[in-house]
Amino acid sequence: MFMARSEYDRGINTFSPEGRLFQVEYSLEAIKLGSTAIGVATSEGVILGVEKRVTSTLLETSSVEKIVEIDRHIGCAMSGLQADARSMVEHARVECQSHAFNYNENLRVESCTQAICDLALRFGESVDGESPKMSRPFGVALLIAGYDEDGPSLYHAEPSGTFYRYDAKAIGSGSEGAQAELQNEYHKSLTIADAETLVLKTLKQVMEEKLDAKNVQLASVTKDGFRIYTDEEMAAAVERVPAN
Amino acid sequence: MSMFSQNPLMNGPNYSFSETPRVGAPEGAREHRFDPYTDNGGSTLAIAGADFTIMAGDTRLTSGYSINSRFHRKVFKIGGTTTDQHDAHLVLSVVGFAADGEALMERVDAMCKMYRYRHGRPISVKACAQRLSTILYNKRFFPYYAYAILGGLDEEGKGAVYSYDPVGSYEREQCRAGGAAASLIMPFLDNQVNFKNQFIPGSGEGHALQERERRPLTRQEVEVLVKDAFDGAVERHIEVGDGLQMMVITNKGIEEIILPLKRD
Amino acid sequence: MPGFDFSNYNRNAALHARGVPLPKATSTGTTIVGCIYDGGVVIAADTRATSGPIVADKNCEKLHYISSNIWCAGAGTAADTEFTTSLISSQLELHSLSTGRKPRVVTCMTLLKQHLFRYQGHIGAYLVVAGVDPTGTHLFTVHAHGSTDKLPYVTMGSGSLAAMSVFETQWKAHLTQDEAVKLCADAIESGIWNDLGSGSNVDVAIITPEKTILKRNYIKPNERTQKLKSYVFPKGTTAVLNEKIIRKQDIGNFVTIHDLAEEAPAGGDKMEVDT
Repeated sequence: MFMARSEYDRGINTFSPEGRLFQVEYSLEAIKLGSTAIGVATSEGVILGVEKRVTSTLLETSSVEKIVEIDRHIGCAMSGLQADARSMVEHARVECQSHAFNYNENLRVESCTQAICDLALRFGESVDGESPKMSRPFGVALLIAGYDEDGPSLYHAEPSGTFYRYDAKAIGSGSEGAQAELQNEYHKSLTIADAETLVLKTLKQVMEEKLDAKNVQLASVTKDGFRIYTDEEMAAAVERVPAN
Repeated sequence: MSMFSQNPLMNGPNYSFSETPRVGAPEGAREHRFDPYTDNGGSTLAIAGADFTIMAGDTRLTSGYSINSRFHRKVFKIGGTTTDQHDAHLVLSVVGFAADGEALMERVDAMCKMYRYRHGRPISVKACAQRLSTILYNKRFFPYYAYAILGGLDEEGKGAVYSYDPVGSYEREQCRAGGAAASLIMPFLDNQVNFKNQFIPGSGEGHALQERERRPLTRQEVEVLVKDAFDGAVERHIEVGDGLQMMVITNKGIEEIILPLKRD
Repeated sequence: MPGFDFSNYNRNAALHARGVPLPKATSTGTTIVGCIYDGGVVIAADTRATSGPIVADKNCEKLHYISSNIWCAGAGTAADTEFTTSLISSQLELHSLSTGRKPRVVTCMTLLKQHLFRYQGHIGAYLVVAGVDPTGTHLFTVHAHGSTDKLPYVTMGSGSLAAMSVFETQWKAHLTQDEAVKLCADAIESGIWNDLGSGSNVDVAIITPEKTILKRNYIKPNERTQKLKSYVFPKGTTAVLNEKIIRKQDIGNFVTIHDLAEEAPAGGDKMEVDT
């Protein structure tokens, strides 16, 4: 029987004749609809920054949570379907706690990222007796920032289950422009303050709205751990962004 | 004709399990029991130095009044990448029920290997110590009948000894004796390693007497103490003897030394 | 029979029923053997006494005197072998005095088995009885419940299997005295090495019609190893928390003193001490 090429994007675990998994590829598209998130790693720590899309003046901006803590030493920023990120973050938090319980030490950032990616491909049709699977791939990408015995590091995890380490990475709708900007501006000797400014400056360029202290959020991971910036710190950081 | 043997194996329960009389058993009730454990005797010993750790154990394996083996190891290198453990950095000693001890060792070794695969580096003694505790506690109600001691070098390169009870309670210590002759060896160690009950002659009156100051022991001194401790234990404990196995952990690797002990 | 006091029996039985364990007796978890040869009999024993897994005495004597021509090797509860043999020894001595004859080995064996049978195994004495009398050379074993065997070679104790394996591979009829001594010593050594209840040295007794030769510590294959380090402490190492001086002339206020002539302390070997 003749099968249309487009049939292959229905079966969730079915390769197309060209060797593609369409559902996974489509999930990557979902991220491109998400708000922009940026991470910059320096020798002192990692800065995460996200754009909060304030779609209504009635929206309470503090309820938009796109940067979350995984453990004292690991945090992450997300872009895409936020609800999906919840279950990934929950999984990562459990892995971190379990490692601390079993080994009396912090889980390494790479191992944490790997643990999150292990979850990414658990979709498809579940079989009797097997643990139930998810109906579709995740629609969210994460920037995972952490500080372990090797110092600070930044990872990017995709719905496909692959991950890479970056010095600086942008994801979401403005990622193309933002990544180009990071490429130009990044250098190894950035300080934390430099990184804050670089993140905000880059976000400013790709955001549709005018950047202010309310529609962006910063967080840092240093040797002292993960921390989300307060409103005052946000205001101060936004203040430092060059006007141009 | 000779129906009543002196051999405790043939005539009632083993001597080393003191049988206390049972109270309040209902009339005519018969107790059926599952006895999965055997005490295989033997003794272990671990001492941490400034930049080394020595782990030791005798090599006799017993049950009741019989010697099952004169050369059965109870001190193991773990955490290496190969079966010969040439690149191992940790040592685990187990004493009590040999089968459980070995099962525990295999499991901890497998765990160390998995850790290396998952996290891309050898496990630290501290992490391995915590994991060993959780492994033991996981079997809280059907324990590994093994007294484990874990030895290695800590993050600063100092000797580290962690000792355990069979259900996972653990502590980092300077030295520890385990197994059959632990109660004979431990007081000797307290006195000779931590200088307990030793005072500086003429340094004061009564309670004001100054304690002898502790100093780190050299590798040679510790090796002598270990040999003397076991020679002493062999004299007075019937389950200890045949051979002495010593593992010396330094930053250059782990060295194994085998010495003879009395065989009676 | 006089001798045993049962007045605490009911109290102890009540305590036991409430969960109090019995006190642990010192057991001579032992290897003892005996072997007849042409011209006499040899018995031998190891010298380890244990209390549970702990060695209580490294050089105890398990060969007991019954009479000049009868000796007994004992295994089991140390006190029981000690008292039973000395009890029967004195009975046999009295019997010999009243009959005016040398005591016979069968007589000794019969007295022992009757005594032990009466106590239904509660007296934990396992014995090898050997001797030479006008009727010939004899070798018996007596078990705690009262059963006896008469054999050309015998072993008893926890090391009996180890020792018997030596007899079963090496024994032959018409041994010479030297061969019998060697065989018995080898059997004991087998117990010393392979049985945890046995250890230290080999004691041997050779009984002939003429005399008995006791070879105490005939073989000493387990000499104590020298410690590598000296554990002598400088004087004053131990804390003195308080001090009370009693002058020699005032000792009489505390104890009664009988001045004895210079003599060695009675009984027991000098304990081995590290220097």
